[in-house]
Amino acid sequence: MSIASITLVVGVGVPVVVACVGWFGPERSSWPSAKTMRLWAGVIAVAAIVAAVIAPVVAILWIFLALNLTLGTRENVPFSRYPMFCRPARDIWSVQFEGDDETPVPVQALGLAPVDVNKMFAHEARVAARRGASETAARQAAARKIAALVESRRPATGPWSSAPIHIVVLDYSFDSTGKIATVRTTLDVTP
Amino acid sequence: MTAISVPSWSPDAFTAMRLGFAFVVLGSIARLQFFRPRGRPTAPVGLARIVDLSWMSGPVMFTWSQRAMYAAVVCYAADVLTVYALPVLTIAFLLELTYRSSYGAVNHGHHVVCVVLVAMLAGVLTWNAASAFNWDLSPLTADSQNATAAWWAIQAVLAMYFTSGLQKVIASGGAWIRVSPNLLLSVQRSAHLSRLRGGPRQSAEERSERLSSHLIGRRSLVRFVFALGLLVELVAPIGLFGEYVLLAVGIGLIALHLANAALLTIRFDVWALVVLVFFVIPPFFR
Repeated sequence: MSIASITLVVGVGVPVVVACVGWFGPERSSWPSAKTMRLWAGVIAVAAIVAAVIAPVVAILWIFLALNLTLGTRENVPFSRYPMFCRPARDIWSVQFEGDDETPVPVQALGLAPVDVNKMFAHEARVAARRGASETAARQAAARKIAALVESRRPATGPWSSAPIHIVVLDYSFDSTGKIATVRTTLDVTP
Repeated sequence: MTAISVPSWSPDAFTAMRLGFAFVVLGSIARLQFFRPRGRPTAPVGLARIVDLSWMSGPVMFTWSQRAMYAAVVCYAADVLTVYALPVLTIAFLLELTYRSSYGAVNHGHHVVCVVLVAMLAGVLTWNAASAFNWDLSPLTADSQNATAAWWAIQAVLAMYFTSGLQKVIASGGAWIRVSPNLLLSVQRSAHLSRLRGGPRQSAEERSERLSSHLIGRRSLVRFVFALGLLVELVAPIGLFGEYVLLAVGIGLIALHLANAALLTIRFDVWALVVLVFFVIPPFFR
């Protein structure tokens, strides 16, 4: 077996074994901390660089992996860790816009996509949380930013050119019977 | 298990890869968002951390950038001035994706095009330099410029899937498969967001919601299905063992994207097409 084959077998084998062991292992009480994740990403990146040096025929695979795990941490395009769905939480949320009568506002009328609004809200909430805000305060801070964005994006004509728009968060979780429960909270409203 | 080597692609296989990738790039250029964020980037990423990219928001800039990309992709498809077309496309995609991702919403839908372009450009430049200065980079580069570009692009794409799989293992402390049934909450959320958006994809979201409600009480089955998805990402690098292994990995990855579209309503068409072009199609042109 060549060195390049060994790097691939070991590189693929270890995470596959870890994933399969975790499948049947005990439930975790919390996610790994950011420090632990950085440590593991660093260890794997170093191992990938070593693999690139000893197995040049597959060096590009290992170099891109190392770059994704280091530069990709802060989404330095085109490098990323592709974190979508990496932590399937027991409770998640989404943001929507509503009129006074709880009618959903068509987000595209504001030139936005619902998924982008959610990502922007999450980003603003993270920024507020990093400044020490509680979860509720962080959400309210994010809602204020989103309300300002909505205000700047109002269409020139039509019902949403001037009507108040409410920023609402929906929280989804599993109830005791295993069904999905949704809780609705209004966080802010445009003038 | 034998030594790993660059596949010996036929000229027809290179043509198929070039035309196929040009088609994917063309689609990506056509779908660039004309409606652009305004003002200074609120959450700059990558280059935008050092350079202010707000000049990219203007419609004139957008139109000219799109035209330059169209011209470059036609040159690339025709295999004319490729060494100039690739840098134009690479820089344009890097700037466009960086700009779009710098307003707090990073969308990875078109990243694969950018990564393939970066890998191909690096491969072409390295091969040209080795050829011009008589460097022997034979384990790293292939026996032709085209083969080097394709081989580097394939490795870069495999690295993306492998990174995605590793990130799930790292971020969940190895327990990703165990907690994966919680993703059914995301299905509910996607269906909800779809209702806000309206349009033709709504029926797909409703199907997905029905499917997820059938699965809610069957957590072991859900774990098994998601486990298959994670394992396909994690074993992707073994595609480098040979053209037919790469074909099998490619089919697995396309199946993963189809399953994601059906259950999670997450569509990564560009990724699936790139996999089709570089992993699945070449063995049929021997």
